[in-house]
Amino acid sequence: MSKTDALRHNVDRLLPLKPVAFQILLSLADGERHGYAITQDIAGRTHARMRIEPGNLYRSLKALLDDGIIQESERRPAADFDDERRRYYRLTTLGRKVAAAELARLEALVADARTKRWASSRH
Amino acid sequence: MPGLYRLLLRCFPTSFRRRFGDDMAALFADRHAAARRRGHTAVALLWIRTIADVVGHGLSERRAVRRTEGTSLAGVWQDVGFAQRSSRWHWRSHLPTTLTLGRGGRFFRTMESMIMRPIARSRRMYLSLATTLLTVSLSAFLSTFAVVEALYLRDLPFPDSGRLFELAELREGQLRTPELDSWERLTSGSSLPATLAGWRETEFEVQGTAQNVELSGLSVTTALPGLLGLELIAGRPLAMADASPGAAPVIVLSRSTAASLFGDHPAAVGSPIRTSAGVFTVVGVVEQIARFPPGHSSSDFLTPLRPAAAGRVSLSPKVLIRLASNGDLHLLQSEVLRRLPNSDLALATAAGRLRLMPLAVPGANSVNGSMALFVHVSAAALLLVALVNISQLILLHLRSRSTEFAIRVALGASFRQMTARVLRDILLIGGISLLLALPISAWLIGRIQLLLELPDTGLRGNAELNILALELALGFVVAFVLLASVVVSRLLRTEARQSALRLAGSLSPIASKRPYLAKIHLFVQLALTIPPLVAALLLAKTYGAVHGRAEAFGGEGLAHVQLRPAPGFQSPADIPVLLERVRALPNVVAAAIYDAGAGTILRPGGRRSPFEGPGTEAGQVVRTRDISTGYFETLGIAVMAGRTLTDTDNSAAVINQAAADRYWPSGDAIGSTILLSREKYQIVGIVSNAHLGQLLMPIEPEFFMPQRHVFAARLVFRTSHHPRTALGGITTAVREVSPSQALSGFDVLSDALDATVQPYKTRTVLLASLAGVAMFLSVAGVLSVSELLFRHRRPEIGVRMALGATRAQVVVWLARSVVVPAIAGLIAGTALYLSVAHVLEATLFGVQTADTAPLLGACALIALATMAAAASQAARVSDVDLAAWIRNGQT
Repeated sequence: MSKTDALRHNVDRLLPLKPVAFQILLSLADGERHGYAITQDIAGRTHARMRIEPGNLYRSLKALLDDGIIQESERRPAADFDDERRRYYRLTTLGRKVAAAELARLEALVADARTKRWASSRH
Repeated sequence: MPGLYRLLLRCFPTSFRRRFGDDMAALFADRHAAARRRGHTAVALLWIRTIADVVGHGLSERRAVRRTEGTSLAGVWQDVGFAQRSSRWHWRSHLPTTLTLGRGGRFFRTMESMIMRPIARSRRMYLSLATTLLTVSLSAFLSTFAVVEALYLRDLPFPDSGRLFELAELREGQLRTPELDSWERLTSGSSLPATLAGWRETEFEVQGTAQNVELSGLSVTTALPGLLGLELIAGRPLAMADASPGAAPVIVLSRSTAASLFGDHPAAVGSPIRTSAGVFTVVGVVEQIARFPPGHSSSDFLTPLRPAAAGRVSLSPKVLIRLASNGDLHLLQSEVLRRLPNSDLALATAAGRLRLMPLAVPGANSVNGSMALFVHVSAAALLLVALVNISQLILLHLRSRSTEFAIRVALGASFRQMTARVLRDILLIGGISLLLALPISAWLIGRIQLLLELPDTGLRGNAELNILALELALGFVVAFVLLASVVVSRLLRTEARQSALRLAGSLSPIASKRPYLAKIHLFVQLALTIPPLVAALLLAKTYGAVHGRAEAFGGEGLAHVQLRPAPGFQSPADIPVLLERVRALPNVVAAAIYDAGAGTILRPGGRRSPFEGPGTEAGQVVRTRDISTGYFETLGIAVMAGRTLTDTDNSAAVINQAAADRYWPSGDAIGSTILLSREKYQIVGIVSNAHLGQLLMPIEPEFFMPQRHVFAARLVFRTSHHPRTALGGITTAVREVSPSQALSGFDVLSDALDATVQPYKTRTVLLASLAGVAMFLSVAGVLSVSELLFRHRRPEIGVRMALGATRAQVVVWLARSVVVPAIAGLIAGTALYLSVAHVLEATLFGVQTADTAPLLGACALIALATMAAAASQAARVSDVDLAAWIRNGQT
């Protein structure tokens, strides 16, 4: 199996993503964040419709770390802006591909749904 | 607070905590700080979501670790501290919980006590407690309903029902039909001071109709229809000849029975009826035979009562008595002893076992319907409170089984299966309670009937009341089951919709509302307990006052009989002759004659005469009594000043202390001349006040004059033993003076006092029973509410004690949380009581509805019980052993 095929196989294996995991990936797409920032970003982006509790968040982070989708970042912000208690996370290459693949999957799902009569009659 | 969160993180596996624990704690600290800026509500909501999140995801993570690492369930249980090998804890342990941490990452006992102990222990306890609560309140409701209905709301449809009695004999603690040796000898003659009628209950099946009809009726003597005032609307009544041996069997039907069998009641007369007891000819139709015999709603027919030939009545009929207007049991007993000296009835009479059971309770109808409504509403409120308490218990139990439900859902159980499991418990509680409540309430009614000598009533015999009470009870139980079903299905559906991993998260929105609901429940419960408790205390005080006044009267051995003018007793000069004979009897301590119109405690009455004296206005009238010598000595009234009347006094008068204080405030009554009924009298003496009218009426000024006639005279006497024992001798002594003198209206003071006190005793017993049930339910409710409120705070308890709080301080802190709703409940209950207190005014004596002592007493009693229950729960919940935890430290 080629490297590309292996990568695609890994991506397919990880789909579909759980909603919480996908939201975490979206937060990390803009850059490295720690846990609190991730929850704040998700809450802001979803207009407080999705509030992620710490237990839920860190279980998801653990799963993403174990799958290699995200990793801890070695870089730290400037000392004035740093909180040494926190750990920062960022997307891996696999993570970017998984996020893109999940986005494509959701787009295809929405497009398929729009072909249905009930969907068109809503407009 | 972050430290408390660290404690909660013990839900997660050790490896997870090591990896993410600090981050999670930091995240929580940020969110907690943000919530604090928004207010207490936000903090509370944050904690609730956090607890649910930690518990749910922590358990899920552990399960995931088990799957991936192949750890056995036992290993997981050991890790969280549920292992049976633990020497410090066993899932069947009844010991208080302890915070214990040890090697291997044992979970702290707070979580264990929240989950495992209720599952392990409480199902039997919660089922028993819920069934007991519902049984007690249902029994109280059913028995109260039946007794109050019979006592206060259902007039008998018979003329002069107050003089109708059933003759009974008290044998071995039960009231039975007395054995009659000869009906004819007992009932013949005119001097019997009562009309007697006999009846037996009969049943048979009417044959020859499309569907065999069962009829229940009475075999009666000819006098019974007249006693009951049965209206004949067709044909003729039963006759003496119908009861003769060999007479053709005849029957009189009620209107409804005749209509159902013949279509129209006139068509029934002369028609034959084929029954399982033979063929009867209908000779008459009466309007209705309603509410007879006692305890039955109606009867369908009357047939002649056929006594056995030659004397003894086999299977003695029950005896209905209508006492003559001046007749009584004692005179009746005297006649029984005279006519049937060696009979079983005479033996029962001599032994004092005969009883007259009234068909209508004397004085019952004088209490208005509002009292009945008050009692009914109180009983219904108690039943409602009991149902709410039980619902609370069910919710507590369900919450403690949340992990079990989560596991079952994870293993594939459907919502229907889980609902069925819980509904089975609820139906069990309702079914068992109803089955137990019926015999218990019937037993309670029997006890109340015997204690208060009430007519047969309620569940034991009245079909109409049976059905109504059962319908009400069933309605309550069905409502309870439906309500519980809705709550349970909502709870389970919420849990089932979420995945098992989110179980705690779905539980928390419900739990977040419960502390407020629990406090509201406490508030409502205490508010509903106050009115019956205060009413019971007021009625008890009233009963005490009435009983005390009756006791203080000092009427031992006092009785009177009515005398009529007869040869030998026709002028006032005959009075001393008669009194001399009576006073000479061995058992008679004192005797006197007085005007029957004057009345005594035994027969209320009193003549009012125009009075002219010092300081009186024109047209003044006062109460006067005509008396003979020895009146005051006989009644035990003390002479305060001067002297009493003598046989030679014609224009002397004696007054009571109230008259002296009113009209001679300067104290110079003795020697004063007054006009009574325009006749001149001189005051020669002052006697103490006495309740010579009615026991509970206020004292009035009274004037006593010499007896000047023998019309409607009464002989009052005091004996050294019960007056009944002297009646025979007195009758003889009177007849020696006047051979044809008839005695009537024999009354014993102790019986009159009992009749006065009886209604107060009845009401006190009823309300006290209700109040007792209310207190029991209150304490049970406080215990369950406290359990709910305090259990949430166990982690906080652990932290407080770790920071140095003593157990006593923790108990006080916990108990304080019920103070506010308790005080609010007491205030609302007081307001509720004051708004309905006017209902009780007619039933009180010597106390007002607004008296503070009973109200404060009730509030204090409830407050004490509430705080004791809350403190006991707080003490149980706060039993935390921190020594080992602190020693081992957090890992």
